[in-house]
Formats: sequence, structure tokens, C-alpha cells
Amino acid sequence: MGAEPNDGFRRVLVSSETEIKFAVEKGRKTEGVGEGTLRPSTYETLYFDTDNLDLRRDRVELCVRKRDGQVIQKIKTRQANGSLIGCQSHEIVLSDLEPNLEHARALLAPDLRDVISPSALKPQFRTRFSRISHQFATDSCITRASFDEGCIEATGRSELISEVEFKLKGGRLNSYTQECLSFLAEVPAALLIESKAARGYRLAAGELPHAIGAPHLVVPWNLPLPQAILRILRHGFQHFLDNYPAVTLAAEPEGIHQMRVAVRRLLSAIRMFAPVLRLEDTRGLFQALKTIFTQLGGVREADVFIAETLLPLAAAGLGKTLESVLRREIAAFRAAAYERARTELTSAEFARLVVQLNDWIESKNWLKADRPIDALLVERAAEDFAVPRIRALHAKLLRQGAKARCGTLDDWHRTRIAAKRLRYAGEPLFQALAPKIDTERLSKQLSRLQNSLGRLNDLQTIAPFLARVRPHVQGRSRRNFEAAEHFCRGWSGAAAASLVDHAEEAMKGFERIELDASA
Amino acid sequence: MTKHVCVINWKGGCGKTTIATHLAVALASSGLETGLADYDRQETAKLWEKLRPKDAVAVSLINWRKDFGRSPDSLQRLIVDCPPSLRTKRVRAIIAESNIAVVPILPSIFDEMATLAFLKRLEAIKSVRKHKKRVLLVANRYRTDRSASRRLEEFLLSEGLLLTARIPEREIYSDLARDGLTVFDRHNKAALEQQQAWLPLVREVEKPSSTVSHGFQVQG
Repeated sequence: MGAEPNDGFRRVLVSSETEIKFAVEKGRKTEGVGEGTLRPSTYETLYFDTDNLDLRRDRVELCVRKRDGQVIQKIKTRQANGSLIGCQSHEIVLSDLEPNLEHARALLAPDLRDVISPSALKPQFRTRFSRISHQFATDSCITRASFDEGCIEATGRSELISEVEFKLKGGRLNSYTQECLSFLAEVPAALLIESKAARGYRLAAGELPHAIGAPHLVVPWNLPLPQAILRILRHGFQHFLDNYPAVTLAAEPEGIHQMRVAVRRLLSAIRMFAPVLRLEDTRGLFQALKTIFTQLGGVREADVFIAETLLPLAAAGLGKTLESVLRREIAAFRAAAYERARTELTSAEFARLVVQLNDWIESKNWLKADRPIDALLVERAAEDFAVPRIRALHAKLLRQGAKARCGTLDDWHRTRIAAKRLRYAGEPLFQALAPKIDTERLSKQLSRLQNSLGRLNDLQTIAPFLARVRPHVQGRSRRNFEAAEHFCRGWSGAAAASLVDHAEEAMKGFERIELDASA
Repeated sequence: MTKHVCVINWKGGCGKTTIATHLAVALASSGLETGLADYDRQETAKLWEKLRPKDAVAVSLINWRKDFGRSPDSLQRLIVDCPPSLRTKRVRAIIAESNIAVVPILPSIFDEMATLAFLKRLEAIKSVRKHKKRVLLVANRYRTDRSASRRLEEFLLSEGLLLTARIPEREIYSDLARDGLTVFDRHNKAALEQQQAWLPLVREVEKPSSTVSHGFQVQG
């Protein structure tokens, strides 16, 4: 239970909640859950916000809910870098449907308190659903599974609700995880990341979900190592899931890119911390993440080709016929690749993966404890661990860059991978190098190098990408496609020279920042 | 910044190299870049390093007999194996430069008297006298079932001194040293049991300086 502010309000509940949702098909939803059905309830909820959606921006949900004749005001808050499935929930009983602003103000951040007033706060959307809850207890946890069925309504639009919400009411996270996994083994359910409120906001605005970039993460150098690792893992995992709606519902290219970046960040962090992590039982999880990454890779390559390569190709004299063949065939390839990835992402198997990854991160059992000396890791500052590893990644990047200068395009590709590893794994911990190193300049030069190498990589992958598309091209288009492919190969070969020059320039800029070994 | 730890006592044969090599490997195997500087004329740390297998946890050996005071900036911890003397300026400089001095002592009347005299002489060094240095006393070849060990505890207590760690007398140490190894290089039951005995010392060495009380005190 969370701490209750002493502000004189009669509360129904103030709690830290752990919950995870799954979308289910109608009629399948009550299978796979144990005994103990609670009384069915009917909910009607009105969500309030300002015209500028100030509450939404601060990850706050304010609603007034009618539940079986009782009126309750509920405020939910989520921290940007908190646990993925955790939030704070505050409820009070109201006498009518008007929000109690005094109660809301007592819970909100100071800048939001001034924004909300009776005139500024307006109903944005409404949810109506019936809920059947099953509460079941094991030796080590109490879980409530709630099956919600109904709809979200906003400005003449509506969207169906058919979902299951698993809430940990008390006890151990890993037992709760087992309950979720047992359910997923029985019921073909998909992960549901967006809350009803998030979907309501989108519905009201007539929007599809959009991509979410990772907020800049800086880990204080003196933070104990386990806390630093937890922050980095949560950050990567949250970034991954934040983009799930944009990928699965909107097929958004940027969302797909962000989701892949998040996987890279997560895997780079795990690789960096591997010497102090227990990874024996998690190989399968990370392999599954890599598979998702690869599946989305085909979609990403098609997106990059259509958005960034076709235009210069046309300008170089590809011709309208060949351009339209390329555009059509690559769009078809993209659609098929996306559908395969989406099927995977909306499977119960993927939901299981997410539940297991969340359990692995939040259980905090990942720190090595095999030897007596491992006890020191708990007390060690992040700096002690980070500095030699950042230095090693930096040295590797310099070596690879030097090799690439007189090497092949493959060497530049390896340089790009080394740059990504340094950036994704090391950047949150760059503060440990300050003040001797200008970390802002280091980040900037690294980002510049990565962009430059990214453009070179886009060019380099054209030929293998088109070779993968070719077998899917049917009939008469095949000949035109092969002609276009031939043109692309010639063009990319010629364009590579200038991009290699850019990469060399960026590498020189990066080399100017010396990582003083004593940092 | 490299944290310097010197292992010193003017009494010979009290286990300075054993303590220095074990401390170095303990810190290295907990993920820190660690160096071992050999300034002892007998160069036993250098010999140990020569015997050490190439695939063992890396500890960079630095020969201070050859190149005094040099150490790579990249090191996070540097353990200095000192000679059994306090006479030269260089040894006194090593102590002045160190964040921590570790003083091994054996449970024997000769070691007790020699170490007490050594600690008094150590106090003549300004940074030690001004309470800027931690001095950790470690009993080597300690056996709880021996009266000599009990006498050592009583003697130190009467002088207001406490032991930071008690390293048991076991054959495993000489067996492993033969191969350039330490108990931190092995993961069998006997080695893990011995590692526990070193933890109080390693923990004390790893304490951030702001969380420990400064001063010339032998900490337990």
C-alpha cells in the first residue's frame, strides 16, 4: 500500500498497482482462469482533461466512475522511468459526477495543480464496460483477473473493449508471473499495452498510435551498480513496449525503427553488464528478442529504401517504369514482412516473452551471486564498472575505424556496429567520464558518426535487400525488377565513395575526443 | 583515479606477497582493472606472475624495482607489495601515496613485537599521523584452535588494536601459489570457504573513503 497523504479525504483505496493486460477474443475470455468468480459489475467512466491535454502529457489519468450505484473519482499516475507495469492509483468517493479538484490537486505535481480548474477541466471520452473478476490465491500471491467487455466512446466514434487485466493484489511477482503465463498457455491472447484511457484519448483525437523515442537517460556515476543496471534495463524495455501500439496498430515506419532501437539498447546493455549478470536461464528470451528484431529488419529495410533511396535513384535516371516496379514490389514485400512480424507480435507467445522479460527485470535476481566476492557488486558504484567498459568499447571503435579507413565496406559495417554498441550501452553512463571528458561533445560526435555510418550501411544493404525481394517478384515484372536491381547496384557503388568520405570525416571528428585513461 | 593499497610490514615472512596477490586477484575478479606493483627486492610477486596461467583473471604486474612509481592510468586499483623496511624515502613515499596500508601479522611473539614497533614508526609519517590514512591489520596463518592465535587477539586488544581479517593457515595457499594462483581463481568448496575469510578485508578496502572514519586506527 502506498503512503496516504494527510489531506482529510475519505479514501476507498490508495495503492501501488501491478497490472498487465491482454486483448482476447469474445467468448474465449474466461477459459484458463481458476475458481472464485466475484460479482459482475458494470462500469461507466468519464475521463477529464484540459483542452491542451495537460494531464495526459504528465501521464496522469483523472476519471469519475459509476460502479454499481457508487460514484468514485480515480487518479492514476505513472512514472516515466518506473516499473513497466506499475502505477499509483488513488480513489475517493464522490456525491455526484463532478470531479473533486481539491483531491486531484493534492495528488498532482505543482505545475499541474495550477492548470486544473472547473472551467479548464472537460470530459474527453467515456468508457462503458461490464467486468467479471476472478480472484485466486496461491501460497505466494493473490491475483485478480478482470474480464472487461464494452466500448470506449468519444465524439461520435467508438471502439470495442474485450480484454483481461491481471492485477497483483499481494505477494510475490514471480508467482503472479506464473499465473499470467498459465493463462496465456490456455487462451490465445495478445499483449495490450495501451490503457483504456490511452485508447480513449486516441479515439477522441481520431489518431492512430505513434512512435515514441526513448527519453534521454543519464545514470548518476555514483549510483550503486544494481540500481544503475535496473534503470538501464527498465529504460530499454519500456522504450520497446512504448512502441508496441504504433507497430501493431499503425504499422508506422518510425515505430518499427524505434522498437528495433529499443531491442538493440536492451541487448547492448545486457552484453555490457554480462560479466556481472546471471544469464544462464535467459538465453531463450534474448534469442526471441533477436528474432523479433530480425523480423522487423525486413520491414525497416523496405521503409528506408522507399523513403530514402528511391528519390536519389529517380534523380540518377532510373526511369519511371523501373521506379514504379521497384516501388510496387518493395511495398508488397514490406506488407508481407510486416504481416509476419505483426502476427508474431500479437501472438500469445510474444505476450509470454514480455511477461517473462518483465519478471526477469523486476525480480532483480539478475546480479551474479555465485562467489563470495560477488557480494561486493551490490555496493559497487556504477562508475567503477562503467569506466573500463566504456573505455574498452571506445578503443574497439577506434581500432575498427582505423581498419576501415584502409579496408572494405564490411569493415565500415563493423565500425558501425562498434559505434552502436558504445552509444547504446555506454551513453547512459557517460557521466562517469565527466568532468575530464566533455561528455556532451562525445555524445554529439558519436551520434554524428553513427548517422554517417548508417547512411553508408543503407547503401551497402541495397544489393542484398533487392536480392531478397527478387524471388517474390512474379511474371512480367521480374525482368523490369532485375533491370532496376542492376541499375541500383551500379548507382550504390558510385555513391558509396562519397559516403565513405563522409564516414572518414565523422571518424576523424570522433577521434579528436581522447578518452583520457585516468577518467 | 587509481586507488593505491600498499601491503607493508618491516617484519619479513609475514605473508605480504600472499596478501598482495590475493587482494589483487579478488579485486580483479570482481570486475576492476587491477595492478600489482612489486617493490620487494626478492621480487616474489614477479615470480608469482610468471607462474600465473595466461587464462587466469588478468592482473597487470608492474616492476617498481625497475621503474619506480609508474603505473598505467587505466588502473582502478593498484596493490603495492612493499619490502620489509621503512628506511628508504621511496617506501615512505609509497605509504604517503597510498589510500590504505594493509599490515600482515603472524600469531607469534616476534611478529607481535616487531609489528607494534612498525606501527609506531608508521605514525611518524605525516599523512598517517594526521588521520588521512587507513591502516588495516590482517592476521595471516591464523588458527582458532591454536593458543598463539588467541594470544595475538589478546595482545592486540591490550594495545587497542583490532584485526580486519583472519586468514587461516591452509595448505591450499601454498599449493595454489605454486601455479601462480590464489583462492579467488578456484571455485571448489575449499577455495570458496577461504574466499569468505578474505571478504572483510576486501570490503574494507572497497569502502568509499567518505564512509569510513579517518585516522591511524587498525580497523576491525
